Amino acid sequence: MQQFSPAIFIGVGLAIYIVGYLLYARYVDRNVWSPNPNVKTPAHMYMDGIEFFPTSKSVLFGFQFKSIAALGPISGPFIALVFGWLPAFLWIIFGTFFIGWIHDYTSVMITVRSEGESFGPITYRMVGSRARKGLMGFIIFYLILVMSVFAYICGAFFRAFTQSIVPTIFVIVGGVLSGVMLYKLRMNIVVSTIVGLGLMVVGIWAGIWLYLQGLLDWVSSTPVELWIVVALILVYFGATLAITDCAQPVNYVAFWPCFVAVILIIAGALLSPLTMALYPADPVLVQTEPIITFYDDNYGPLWPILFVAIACGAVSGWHSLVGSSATGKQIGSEIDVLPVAGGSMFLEGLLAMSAMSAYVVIAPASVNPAWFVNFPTGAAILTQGMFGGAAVAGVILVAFFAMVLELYAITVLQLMPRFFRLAAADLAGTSAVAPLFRNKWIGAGIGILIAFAFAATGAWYHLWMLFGGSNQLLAGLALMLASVYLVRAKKPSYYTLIPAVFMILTCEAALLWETWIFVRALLTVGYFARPGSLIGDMAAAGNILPAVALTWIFIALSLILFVLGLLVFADTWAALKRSSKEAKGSVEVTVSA
Amino acid sequence: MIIRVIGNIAIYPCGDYLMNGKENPDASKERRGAKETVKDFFYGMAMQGMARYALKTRMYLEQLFMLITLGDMLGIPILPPYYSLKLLPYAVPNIKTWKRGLFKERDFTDALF
Repeated sequence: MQQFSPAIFIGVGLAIYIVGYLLYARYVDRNVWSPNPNVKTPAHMYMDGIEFFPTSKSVLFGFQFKSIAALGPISGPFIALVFGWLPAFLWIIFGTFFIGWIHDYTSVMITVRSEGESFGPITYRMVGSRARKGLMGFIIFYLILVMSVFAYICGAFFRAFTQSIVPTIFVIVGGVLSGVMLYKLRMNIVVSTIVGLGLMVVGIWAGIWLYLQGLLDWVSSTPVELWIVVALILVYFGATLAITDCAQPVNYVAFWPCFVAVILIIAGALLSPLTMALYPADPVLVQTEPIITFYDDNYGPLWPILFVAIACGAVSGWHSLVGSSATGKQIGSEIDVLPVAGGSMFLEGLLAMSAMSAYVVIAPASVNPAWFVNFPTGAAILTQGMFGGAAVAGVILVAFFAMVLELYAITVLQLMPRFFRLAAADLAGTSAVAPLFRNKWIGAGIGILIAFAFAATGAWYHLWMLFGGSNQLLAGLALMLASVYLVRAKKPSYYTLIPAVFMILTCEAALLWETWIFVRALLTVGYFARPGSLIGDMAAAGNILPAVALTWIFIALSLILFVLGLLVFADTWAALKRSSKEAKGSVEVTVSA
Repeated sequence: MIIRVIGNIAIYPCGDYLMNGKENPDASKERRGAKETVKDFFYGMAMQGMARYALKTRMYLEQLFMLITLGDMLGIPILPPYYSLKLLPYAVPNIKTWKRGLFKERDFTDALF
């Protein structure tokens, strides 16, 4: 294989995204949505200075990007690379180009043109009550999957990168401390930020020192479930304490290293030809084959697996929740929607491309079979040339990037039990179980226990696929809503309808594939379980019954997601046909009149 | 207390409008230089979520306070009308926003961010 610098990925990606933004996105923006700068947006119409207020597009761009760029685009490419870098590269490029940006853009634009309504009320108004309930149910299972897979990633990272344990804990402590300084002692934000970040630096130093002294070697021999529990205990406090006491300041302090990491991997990939010339002993070259296979025995066929494995770098349903819940209510002018929502997604595509570069620069012999734990190693290889080469910066950078991934996972995880509790209470309505979810200690506890149960099975790959499938399916459903809106407005809808149908078909196929994997596992016990997973261990130890029970739970989960997705799709499709008939009818009336 | 806290984390761009009664800058139409744009971008990433959360907390508390004091305007008499009437002049500027906020259909997707 001809080896080359990963800068080519970023260069090609950047060039295509610029063309995509300037030509395709602008064309759709102007000719389909036709934003009018003189129309009053909900931010103006309902300005209360709180939920609705016109905000500078630069501020909103930062807000949107920070809200969408988390663990998804960074971890996403890891599974996809079993097929080789070329399919992953093409999906990130064309997924963002044709689907990702338009999904984010339409989610914000519909909210702007629907008097600031969020996803739920828009679904209810345009599609119906059943679709809204289906969507809520779907989101609950989606949240459970996010919690489970991120909890597993946290636990696995603590065990695999022991040097990241102390820095992660120090950032959390630093965050809580800076929250106390900010909110209780009412100190200056700059001072509280410096204290929080100072503790982080001390944590990194202490973590590396303990690691080099071998004082953390015992961690590697402990079970991963122990570290999942540690992560979930931290998360439980974040989810139940007042948000200003823990989750918010921790997220704030964690934002800085996470942002620096994003800049570093993009710069590292871009500058790799230069750094390679400086440190020829540590070459930064693409080591993965472009095409490895179209069907992997463990993972499945390239379609649909690849398209749900890269969950956020190409398109993500999470973005529609962010766009309609917050960004759409702060847009000051319709012409800002493209740079804010579309621009953020293109930037996220670039981030996913950089993350992919970090995975492919590792020599095949050094690749860990659990792909996602390769990121810190790869990111360190990618960036070490900027800090004096592997001999100087290798250990520090691995600790830093491992800490960053921990922080990404923990900061998202802290919010998930809150969201789960709210969604479950909303769906429960006035039923007998509703009070349980309204109680934050019990509600969050239930969410975390469910997450632990799934994470502890060790079937992280299947959890990731179910999470990716539900996430992408959510995006497909948001695109269906956009199509209904466009048909109603008598605008061309195929820019959203084709991506919507593609995403829904792909995700439903992926969910069915996952169901089949588990059914197959029942037929041949232990087939699907990866070495070291709880289900695999149980089956190997002769505990067939619990292993079978867990397998059935996974089958039920896959099928529930499949049916809920199908239900919402059927309803949105019916709404699309209805809207199409109404639109044609109104044209005929106009003509005859 | 919440107002003080909000003051500490430097709300922008509605902060001046809310705290000091200044005219709301129509931020979306402002022409801003490169330095301001970068500053805004960082503010958006680091602070906008926090500021928004603090403001929403205040909104819910204020809505609750208005409901307790002026609930009879919506057919929910909690406080005797005598006290409601005494508080009315102070509440007048917020009544429209309060009613809209209270009657607005909300679900889980509104509470996310």
